[in-house]
Amino acid sequence: MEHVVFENVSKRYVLYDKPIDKLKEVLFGKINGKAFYALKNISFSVEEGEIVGIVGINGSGKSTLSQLLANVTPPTYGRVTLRGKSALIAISSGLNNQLTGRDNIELKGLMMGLTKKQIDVITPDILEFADIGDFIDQPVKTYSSGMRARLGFAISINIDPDILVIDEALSVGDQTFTEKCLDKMREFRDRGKTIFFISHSLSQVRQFCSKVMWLEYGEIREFGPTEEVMAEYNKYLHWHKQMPKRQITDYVTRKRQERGNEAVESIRGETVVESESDRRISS
Amino acid sequence: MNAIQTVLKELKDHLYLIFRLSLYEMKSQYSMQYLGWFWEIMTPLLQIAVYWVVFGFGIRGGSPVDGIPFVLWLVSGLIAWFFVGSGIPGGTRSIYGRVALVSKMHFPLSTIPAYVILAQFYRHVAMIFLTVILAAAFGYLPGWHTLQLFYIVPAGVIFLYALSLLLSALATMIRDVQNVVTSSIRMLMYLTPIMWVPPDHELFRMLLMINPLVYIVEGYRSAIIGTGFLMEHVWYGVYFWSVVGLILFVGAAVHVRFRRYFIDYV
Repeated sequence: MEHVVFENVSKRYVLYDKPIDKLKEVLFGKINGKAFYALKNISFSVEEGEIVGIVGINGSGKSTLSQLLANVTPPTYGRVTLRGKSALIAISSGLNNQLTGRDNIELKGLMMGLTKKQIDVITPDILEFADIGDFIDQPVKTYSSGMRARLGFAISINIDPDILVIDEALSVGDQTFTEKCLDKMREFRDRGKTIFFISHSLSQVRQFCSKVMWLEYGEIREFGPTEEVMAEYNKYLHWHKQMPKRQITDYVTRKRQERGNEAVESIRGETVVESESDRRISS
Repeated sequence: MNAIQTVLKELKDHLYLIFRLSLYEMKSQYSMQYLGWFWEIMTPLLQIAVYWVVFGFGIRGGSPVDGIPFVLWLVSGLIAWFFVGSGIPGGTRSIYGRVALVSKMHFPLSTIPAYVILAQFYRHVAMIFLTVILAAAFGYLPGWHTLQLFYIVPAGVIFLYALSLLLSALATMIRDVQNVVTSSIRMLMYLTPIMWVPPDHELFRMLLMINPLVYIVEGYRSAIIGTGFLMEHVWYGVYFWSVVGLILFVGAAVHVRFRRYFIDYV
């Protein structure tokens, strides 16, 4: 069954010359600035039990895509359909620095819609997975970045989402932790969940994704089986490296200009979250 | 009206969440301090002491207000101000100040002002309690009029939430709103008869009462001291609730209309 469907999805941001233009937009709804499409006319669908790697150079729209997948921000045009609860794990994983790790487990669990009982059940698993010892009762601000990533990852994965989006979150962990996470994700996949894995580590993507989506300047350049896409992406990276500087600049400039052009207008953006028990729509 | 329903339903569905988050809100406020609760008591006490000296002795020469000792009159109004008046800037800041925490998940944003207000409410209840004791010490024992607390305290909470819902949405999109609110509150504190008694001038009092905070402050005095203000000003009560209704209506509409963009605005 399809877990995630994107139909002609675009996400537009407006680059304002002056802050007052933004105010005018809020008040009068008139857009007064340069349009910038972080994502443009994206359509794809992903079946359950897939691990989809998302690759692309900086600024290609990977993080915007992760936000759409986690239903954190709505699309400008098009429809995003998510079947089930999704969770986003990023490096800055929304932990409260003033509170202890243990408090953060409850806080985040509650915010993700769990009951107190459910949280009590998963807490031991989180503690075991994060494996940060006595620091769990210290404020998060005393943690190293690795410890923060461990805790954030442990919480999100034990909340048991149907769709898991990992945005570079593994890049700060050490080798052993990365292995542990990858194992956990495989287990996740085997239970029929969908994982989106955003990473600059091409070896990790190759090792463990079943499909890869390559984004370039806000559009899907390729989407298919890992080997094929990664071979193309590698070629592209080499080509990028070899090209004379001026030619690259021209290429980038042209692509950037295209990115300001209007997307194909489709329906007003909406995100539809469906689950087996209830069908609720959040716009 | 739909927007109000949406917001109320969200609050109702997340009561437990609001309660727990308010406790964590308090906890994270005090985690940096060794004497958190001590400052909670100390800061208002110092403020009361200064106002008492300046307004009570300096300006009024220690004379009572309509027979009520000035310090009791001051404190019973001031606690309402500490909660509702000072709560407004906090409510305005509530959403954009916490968006980092919620930016990685789908979260009912209308609960944020609610739990931020609730976190302040516990302290407020303690203050009401202490003020009732203070009143008793001056010979104003609790009686039937004390039951008015069950009306005026929720009125203050609802007013504060409605206003916070509106201002937090505006401030998230236009940060200047925070500055406007901060300066307005500083003025409002003196435009509300908390520390001074308005002169007996009909038109002046009418103009003063445009400010709905006057209803809350005088309502607290009515409930704690028994001034009878609430019973004598039924029409002012109607005005107050109309203002609250209007603010809630606009606030809910703005919040629901724009919240999907809050994350993009931060």
